[in-house]
Amino acid sequence: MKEKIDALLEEMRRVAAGLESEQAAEQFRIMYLSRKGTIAQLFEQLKDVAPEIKPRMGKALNGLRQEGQSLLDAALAALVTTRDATHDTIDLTLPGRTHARGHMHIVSQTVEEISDIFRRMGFSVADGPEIETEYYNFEALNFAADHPARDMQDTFFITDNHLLRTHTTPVQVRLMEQYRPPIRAIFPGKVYRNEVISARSHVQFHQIDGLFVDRGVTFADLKGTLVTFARMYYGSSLKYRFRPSYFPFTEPSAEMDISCYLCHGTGCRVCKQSGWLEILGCGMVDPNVFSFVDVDPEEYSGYAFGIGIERTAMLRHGIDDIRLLFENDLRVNHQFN
Amino acid sequence: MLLSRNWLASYVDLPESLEELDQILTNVGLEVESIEDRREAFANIVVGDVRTCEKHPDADKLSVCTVDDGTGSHTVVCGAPNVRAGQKIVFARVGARIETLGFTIDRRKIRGVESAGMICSTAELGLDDDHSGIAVLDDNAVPGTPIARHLGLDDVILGIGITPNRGDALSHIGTARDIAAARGTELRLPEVPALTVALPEPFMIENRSPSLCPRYTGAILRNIRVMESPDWLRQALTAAGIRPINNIVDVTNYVMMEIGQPMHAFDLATLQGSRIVVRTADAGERMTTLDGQERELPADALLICDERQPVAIAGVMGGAQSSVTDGTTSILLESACFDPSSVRRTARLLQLSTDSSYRFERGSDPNITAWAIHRAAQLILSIGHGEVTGVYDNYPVPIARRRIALRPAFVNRLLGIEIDAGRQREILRALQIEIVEEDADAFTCLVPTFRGDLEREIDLVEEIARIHGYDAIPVPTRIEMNVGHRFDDQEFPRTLRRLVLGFGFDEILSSSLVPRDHAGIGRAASDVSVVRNPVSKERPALRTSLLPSLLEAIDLNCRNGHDSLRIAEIGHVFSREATAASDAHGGARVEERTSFIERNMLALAITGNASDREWYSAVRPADFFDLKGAVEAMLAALYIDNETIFSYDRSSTLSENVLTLEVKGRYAGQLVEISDTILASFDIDQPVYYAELDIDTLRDAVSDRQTYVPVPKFPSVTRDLAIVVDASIPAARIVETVRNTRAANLRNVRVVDVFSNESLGRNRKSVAFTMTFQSEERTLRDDEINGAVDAIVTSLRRDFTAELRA
Repeated sequence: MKEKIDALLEEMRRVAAGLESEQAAEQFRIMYLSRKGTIAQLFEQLKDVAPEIKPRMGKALNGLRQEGQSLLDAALAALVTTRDATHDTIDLTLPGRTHARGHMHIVSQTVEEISDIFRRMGFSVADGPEIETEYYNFEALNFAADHPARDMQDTFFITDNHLLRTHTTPVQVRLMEQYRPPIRAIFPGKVYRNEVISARSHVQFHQIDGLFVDRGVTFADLKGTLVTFARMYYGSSLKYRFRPSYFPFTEPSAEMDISCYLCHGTGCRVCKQSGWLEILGCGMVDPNVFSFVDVDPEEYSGYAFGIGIERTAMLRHGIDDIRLLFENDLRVNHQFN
Repeated sequence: MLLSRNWLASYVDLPESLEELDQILTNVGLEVESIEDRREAFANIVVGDVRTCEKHPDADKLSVCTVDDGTGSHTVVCGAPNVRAGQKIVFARVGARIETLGFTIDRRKIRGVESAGMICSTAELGLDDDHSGIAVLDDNAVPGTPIARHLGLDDVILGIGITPNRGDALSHIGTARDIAAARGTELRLPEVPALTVALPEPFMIENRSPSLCPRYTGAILRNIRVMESPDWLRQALTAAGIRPINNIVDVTNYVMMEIGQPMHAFDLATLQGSRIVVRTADAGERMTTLDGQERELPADALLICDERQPVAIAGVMGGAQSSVTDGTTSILLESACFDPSSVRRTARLLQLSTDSSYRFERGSDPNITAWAIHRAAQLILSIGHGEVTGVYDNYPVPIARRRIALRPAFVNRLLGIEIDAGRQREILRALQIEIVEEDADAFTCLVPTFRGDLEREIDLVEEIARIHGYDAIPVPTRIEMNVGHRFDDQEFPRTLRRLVLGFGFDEILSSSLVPRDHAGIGRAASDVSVVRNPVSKERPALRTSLLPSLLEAIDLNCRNGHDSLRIAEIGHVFSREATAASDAHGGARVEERTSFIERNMLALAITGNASDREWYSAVRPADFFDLKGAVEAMLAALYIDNETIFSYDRSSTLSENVLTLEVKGRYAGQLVEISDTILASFDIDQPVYYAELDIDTLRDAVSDRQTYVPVPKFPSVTRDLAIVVDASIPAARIVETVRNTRAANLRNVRVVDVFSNESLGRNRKSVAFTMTFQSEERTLRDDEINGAVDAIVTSLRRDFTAELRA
């Protein structure tokens, strides 16, 4: 038995040294290590050996089996190494298989980015129709008929009563009709002005209006929210100012300027040498607007604001012609993502 | 509005620095839009004294002068024929920029003599065209004085943006009033003695429209001389952006720019009778205005007439015939108050906006007309001779100051700041708002009549806020959230946008206004909404579909050599429903019944190649299934792909190949291979595959929550079948038939191959599909599946006379 074991060990070592393929290795396993292999047969014969040497022989056989397994593992590992070494090289410099990627329009990007800031500040998001009535676009927003304030809005009329909204502000009236305060929402959307199309003006553009109505809302709250917005969007180090302005639907009204982020306030072409950029209009909801939606201005107060999207995007990305935004020349659109 | 700093300074003390002035004005709401500092235009150009003047040793026409510029003597070579010793002249020092000549003065040798400066003509300063010689100044000019100051040109022109509510600020005094209030300084008004005429000549103001003309003040001046205005007046008007005309017209404009009261001067000799009639226009009345245009006067426009005819359109423009000319010797000055709405309507109908109409539209002060007429007369008499022979004032119902109660606590409550009552009182007083009563809660205020915009308590809150300063209102360090009504109407469109971007579509954004014929594609003309008054006439119609927008974009990009495109747009489309019911009298009242339908749509278009030539792939032209695949993938991503039905739409005018999409039984859009006819009208000569989906319908179909279904425990088995059927049978019907057999444990059917060739026979095609079987309870046995497949084959044979392909 002892001789057989030694001879087999010899043989396994010799065969293992010559294993050059995985098939050969598998044959090695079947021949020596499988349930019907040579080592298993020797274990069969163990029952016939003398009892006094049986434990020794058993131990030797176990050693043989372990050695066989080690030889096989080593041979397999060597094969993998050899396979790696002889692997076909591929030209990794070829371009990858592409995946088409769409570009979001710069106006959508700007709307989404600004909306997300207000979402984080607890504002809901509302839509409204682009064909509005005189009532929602003007009257309920405290635009008196025949008031020069209407000159600020060159209006496309469809019928005597229907028009293309000149701002997204009408949505605030619709919201206050639908919900009682508190209301905290923004309303992005497309608006229209009946103007000659030029580098600086278009018949359409986008706005985001916002509204917060509750008990005890103050001008200070308005400043807090808008300064936070400006810092989140334009950067935390900016300077800002609020200056009195006029909108029929707010009072007191203000416009918010930030220090020009191109020249940092020293004056440049973009800020017309003033060092300031106007970024939005805002104010406290005018009591007349509340009266149209039956909210008691003694009980509630609110603020409203409006941001022009194209102007924001154009300033930010150095686009000097608004027409580029709606022509859909993809050589332009592809520059932004 | 342009204001002169020097002019402003005569009414109020101004800060030295322009920055500070800019800040004050902007902070009170009079936004400084531009600052033109003319003081810098003549930097280094000063009054000089010619001490000596001798002939140039080497040039006959040149003189060598020594000029004292207040700091020392300079040798200057001068070519002017009129230069003499002892003259006070305009001296440009070394370093001065002569804009008209485009150079900066430098030391240089002229024929061997070094010249350090230049003696200038008025033409070289850009003041006039007099090139005959150097400008000789008054003898009392002081050497070294900056020339701009000496000539009164050292001004700063401020461009102020005045919001529509601030008609009161449209003048130098109006603006000075706010500056004085903001700085807490005094406002200085010019001394204007009231005119008294012992025996006025007979003249009458007959006001037939006191509601549109609350006050009309007039004055007659005789023996005046019309001529060019003196320099100070011309300079003042020029600084304010108004072209000087003659001393009479210039004075009326000066008073307007001073106090904000528009005025007009009529040549009295041209007026018929001794009466001014204020009335509204009759139908068809015509008049030639100052600008030489004959105009038809809008009905109800307010007119100023003599006894025979209109002589001015009230508050808008005077008539040509009655205007002041060089030969005028007597005038009627008009200083009136007109109704803002009436002036605005008339000006709009005439498409005529003037400095006068602009101010009246914004509200004028009825109580300033007399002051203005006295002021104008005072100025005319001081520069144009003459005498006042009558002053007339028609003011039927004097307008008193408005009474408004203001609660100081309300101011603080709304602003979120503590401004004590004392400070509030001080601000009101500075704005000439008088507190006539005061109790524990409120001030009773009387508002000056020049502030017609102050009507309510809230208006006074704004006054206090803007004079106190918006900057003084603190920025809180915490922001409120609101957990009340929560909604997000943009969330779903945003999801769709992100999905289609992921599928490689570029988002575009187009004009909603399109050419009329584009808006009508695939629609009845009566569905199209058209704007009535478009400035751009080519695009008056609202799109009824996004199709024309995407086709325009495809055309443009193809022309730019970019012809393989996947583009998407999200936008509203508009259609109208005119239920043209006739009223009781049988007349059509379409307008009143028009309603508009507005939908938010997502459009996708694919054209050109789906894949380019690459090392791993060949060029493949895009086809309908690239589009359909994108739509299906989107529906799958929304988890509504099992709720959708595609079906042929044979009635569409867009093309023969139109597929309608229904989601949960509702129309949700269509997929179209656009017809060549439509493509040709956009100059597109390659196929376009187009889908337009209704965003709201899709959103309604999506459930916001998916529930967990246990993962299958037992293996699935697939079986393939290939059948040969008539070529006209849609694959979807075959799949539907297979599904409808309700074969046990059939989970999925998918078409994997379609082809036709001669061996199958004419008009026959082979359709291969793979079926997946799976049970939730056990591993399926072969015989169970075989039975199900047999039943399916039987159905297909029966329904389509299908043959099983080996």
